[in-house]
Amino acid sequence: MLRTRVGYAGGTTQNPTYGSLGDHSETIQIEYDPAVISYSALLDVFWGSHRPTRPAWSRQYASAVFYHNEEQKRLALEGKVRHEANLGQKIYTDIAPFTGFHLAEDYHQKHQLRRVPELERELRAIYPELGDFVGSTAVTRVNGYLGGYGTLERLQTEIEDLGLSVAGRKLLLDIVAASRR
Amino acid sequence: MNTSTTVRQALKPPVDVAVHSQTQTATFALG
Repeated sequence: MLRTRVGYAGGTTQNPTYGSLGDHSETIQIEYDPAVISYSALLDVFWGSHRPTRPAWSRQYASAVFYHNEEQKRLALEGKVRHEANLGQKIYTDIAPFTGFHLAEDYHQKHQLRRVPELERELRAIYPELGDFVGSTAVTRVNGYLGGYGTLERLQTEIEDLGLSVAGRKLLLDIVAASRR
Repeated sequence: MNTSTTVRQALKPPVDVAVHSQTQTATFALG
């Protein structure tokens, strides 16, 4: 995973904010290297992460795939049919073309990293601008490890590349080692 | 590019300097 960010998409409201979403939905956007992980694998995580077997209460909490090309559209539609067959239930997931993404406010981004102010401070010193901060692969990966994703062994192979101080590296390694026991 | 920007560029983590030949974007709403 190269970058992740949360925001609002799928609607027509100009300049949405959390307090005024209009017709947008809360959304995660992922930038990835298809040589490392496929869109199908991302879809598997998507289907496995929630259970949209009832219509959404509101557009804000809708289940949706916003496809960026015809291949993504095909895979999403096929996956939806397969997932419905597996569950034996109708799935209320919109498969719609991507029309734009509005970055959510700072306080919605990188939640796991916010739990560890020492690490957040180090990375914000490198990336004081919000767009740069959420667009950083280093920030994305540290946030992911803190969220329980990735193994300690994998972290050990890339810890030197994440821009952390010696103390920051030790702290992250200690947290991940403790959480993976 | 001002001095502080230059310094921050130098501090960029190696993982953010790495060039990826192809990247793609996926966008999901998870209810």
